[in-house]
Amino acid sequence: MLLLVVILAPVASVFYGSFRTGPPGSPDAGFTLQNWVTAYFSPSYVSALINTVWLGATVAALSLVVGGTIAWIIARTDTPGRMQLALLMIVPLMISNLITTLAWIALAAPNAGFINAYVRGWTGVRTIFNIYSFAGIVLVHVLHYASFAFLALFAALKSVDASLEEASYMVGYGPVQTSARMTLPLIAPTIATTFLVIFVFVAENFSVPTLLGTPVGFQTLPSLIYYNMAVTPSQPNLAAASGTVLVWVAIIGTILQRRFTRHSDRYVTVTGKGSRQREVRLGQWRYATFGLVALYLLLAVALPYLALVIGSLLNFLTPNLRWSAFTLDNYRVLFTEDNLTAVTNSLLLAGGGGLALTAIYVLMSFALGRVRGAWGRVTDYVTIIPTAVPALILGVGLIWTFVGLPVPIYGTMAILMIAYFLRNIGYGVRQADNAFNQVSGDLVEAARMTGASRLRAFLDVSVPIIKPAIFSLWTMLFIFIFMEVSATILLYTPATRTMPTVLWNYMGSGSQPRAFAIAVAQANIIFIVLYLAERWFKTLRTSLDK
Amino acid sequence: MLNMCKPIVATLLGLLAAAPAFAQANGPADARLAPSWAFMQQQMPGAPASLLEAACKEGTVMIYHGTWVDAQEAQIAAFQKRFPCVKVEKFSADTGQRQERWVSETRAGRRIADIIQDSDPGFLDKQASAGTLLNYKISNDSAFDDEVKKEGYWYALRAALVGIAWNTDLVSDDEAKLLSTWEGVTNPKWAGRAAVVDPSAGGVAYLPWYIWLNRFGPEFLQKMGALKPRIVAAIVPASAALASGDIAVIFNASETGLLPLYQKGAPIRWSLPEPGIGPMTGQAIAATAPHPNAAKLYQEYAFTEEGYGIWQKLGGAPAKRGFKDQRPVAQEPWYKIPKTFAPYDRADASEKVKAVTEAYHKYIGNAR
Repeated sequence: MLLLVVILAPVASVFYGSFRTGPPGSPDAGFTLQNWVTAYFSPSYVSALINTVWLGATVAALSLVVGGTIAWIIARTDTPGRMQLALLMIVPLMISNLITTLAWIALAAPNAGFINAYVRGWTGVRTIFNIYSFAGIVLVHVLHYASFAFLALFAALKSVDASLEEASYMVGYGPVQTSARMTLPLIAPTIATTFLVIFVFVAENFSVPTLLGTPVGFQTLPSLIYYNMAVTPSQPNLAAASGTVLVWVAIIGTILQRRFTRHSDRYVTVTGKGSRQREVRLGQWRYATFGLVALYLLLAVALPYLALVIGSLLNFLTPNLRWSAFTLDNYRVLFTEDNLTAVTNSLLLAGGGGLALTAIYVLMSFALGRVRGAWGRVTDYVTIIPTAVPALILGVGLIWTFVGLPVPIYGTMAILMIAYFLRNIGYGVRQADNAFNQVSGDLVEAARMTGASRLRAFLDVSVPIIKPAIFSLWTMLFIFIFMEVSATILLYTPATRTMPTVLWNYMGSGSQPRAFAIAVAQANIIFIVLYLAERWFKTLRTSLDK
Repeated sequence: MLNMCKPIVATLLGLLAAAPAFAQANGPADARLAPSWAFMQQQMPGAPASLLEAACKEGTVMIYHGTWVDAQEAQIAAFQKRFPCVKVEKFSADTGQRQERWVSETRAGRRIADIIQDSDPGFLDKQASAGTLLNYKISNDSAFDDEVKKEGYWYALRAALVGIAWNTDLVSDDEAKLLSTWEGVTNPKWAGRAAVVDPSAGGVAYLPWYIWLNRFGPEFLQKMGALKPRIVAAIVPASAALASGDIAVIFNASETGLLPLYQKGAPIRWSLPEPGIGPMTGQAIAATAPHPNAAKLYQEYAFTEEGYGIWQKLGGAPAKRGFKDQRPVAQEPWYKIPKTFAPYDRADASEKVKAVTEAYHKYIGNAR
């Protein structure tokens, strides 16, 4: 019940604020419907909603196609260097959307992007790809979320009961037919959940469409919300009303996802029977599949990372790379006391906080996930709502909720943890649900029959089976928390500043190369922590090599 | 004997009674504060030693500042050197987010911020009227004209000047001459080469649209729209795109976004046409400041010759009367600050946001 209050109170504040002429508590504020009329019926907002849904669906579908194809290549074929490729597939998630966007602006701005300038020099063609376009927005998102889709689908493919696929091969179906007729339906719940989560993440993102869509007049609801908050005087109430639109979109998405995964028993794949999946032999084609994955990694990791590193070594961003343009000054600022505090806080919040959130989501999923009927439905909807509310608005909702409460939360790490808990609950609980869906009730039942308590059966039977999923969840939460900025920027204090807030402030003050240096450091720290976690606890290998 | 002692006792009592005033004139009792006091006497005429003592007793001041990080950090470092007994803490965010947080905290009675800054003078005026700002007249008050302060409430740290900026690799000197007047931006020569910053970005990005519309009418925007300028979401990415050569001209560039790039060698220049457009960035003390004396001391310091100069050198054009511009760019022969500034009503500019944004969308945003 306490969790329900924590989840719903900020969202309720947002809804309440959306019906006010001023922020809640403001003495001269009154009741109004105008914010809702504007957010739901004005042509610019309706058009932005259509754009949001179209963009979210396009990115989610393409990310699943790209990520799913790579997951199949790595999980089921004899493509060379699969484990190394699998580990590299996590790297795109280590660079935030905002930074990837800036890196791609440096690469593919129509007149001065590195790629366009290089190609122009060779061929005379002025612009081969303009990042300021719908295609550009989709590209940046897909490069990021294909990696996310890969992780989910790779784990699902590894969990599929091999005997079912083996039966398909026995009746004469080939690898393609088996994948289409047997494997795909078996991993359908994961596909549906991943589609929904990517859709929601993209639908609530403001940085990519704001930076890349504005020049071509493409606006999404979050980019309008960003404007509502940026304009002077800011319009948080209208922004709150716009944020509620996305809640309905997420609820509709959840209805569709629930229908799709209604019979989750069908997808129980870990039954206690040993199984080993058949490896598809590709012959010479295995080099082509290797090339395909390498191409993705080139576009999603190597090029943007290279642009970031080069950018971080420049006085200002320019395609004219003369020696005089280079400097190491941008890295010097990393070592100030303030910035070292930010690094420590980020590590604490992402490492320790990520662990705590993993435990909470798993326990929530365990306690509620198998609940049928009304509670099960309520849980599904309640957990997606805070994730669907754009982070900027969620931050405002948290301020409105906690600033006046006589509890020592506001201005502490605790409010940041609440923000991260809410931001990731839709993903966290669903991931844990997916893991539990794969545990056969027979195994738990067998443990109970030998006298084990419900908790003992959970700890001794369910946890070892879902351990890879738990490691995978912690890994993702670590990355998400380490890079979260939209809600944090409203809630941090000098004592709780994080790396992304430092990066954001450098961006805002016009020091893009310095922000790039922070982004490079951020990506490297994430990489080192995940490497150490892998070395000591085999986190990545366990979650990938299930 | 008793009669003889009377004058001595009276003298001693008199001296005792006069001790605070004596101490005041001669500085704080704590000898460690002597260097700070010496600086105050020199640059904060009239500020009492008791302010220093009380500020040191409070020990901390919290500043809510904008994204002008370098200028603020330089001033804070200098302040701490002068007043090591006061620790400065800071919170930085974009204008809208910073305002929302501070207003929510104030309304809820959370006393966190001591000093607040804002690039929208209309917002500060409104807060002064609402009683959320402390009325404190700084010792250097007379150095600020009425247009750049609300006496006793806020004082301008800078004028954030708006200009027309161009990339010198992409625009010839002859072409650049067209950009010395506001009317020059409507020249067909800039079709497909220019960019504008969306007024929704607020603050310094908004004011030129308000003034252009009032001064030149909607036709001006219509002509500009016919050139199909690229629209950029905010000041910073616009300046970065100009420096990299992705766009050739920005019609409403902010000098605060251009200066850091220019100082690092970017091939850019800008004009500041007449009448000048330059909203003030102000600083005030919160009425609910948890450290009011430390806040007053910081407010005093920020507008001394030293404190102001350090901030202004990195932060923007000076708004203090007769203050010599410390920025290296001010020494450049091409750099000219406007002689006159477009007058405008700060409250009206705040109220007309919707109308101005609609006009912008009609002629430029949606006319693409």
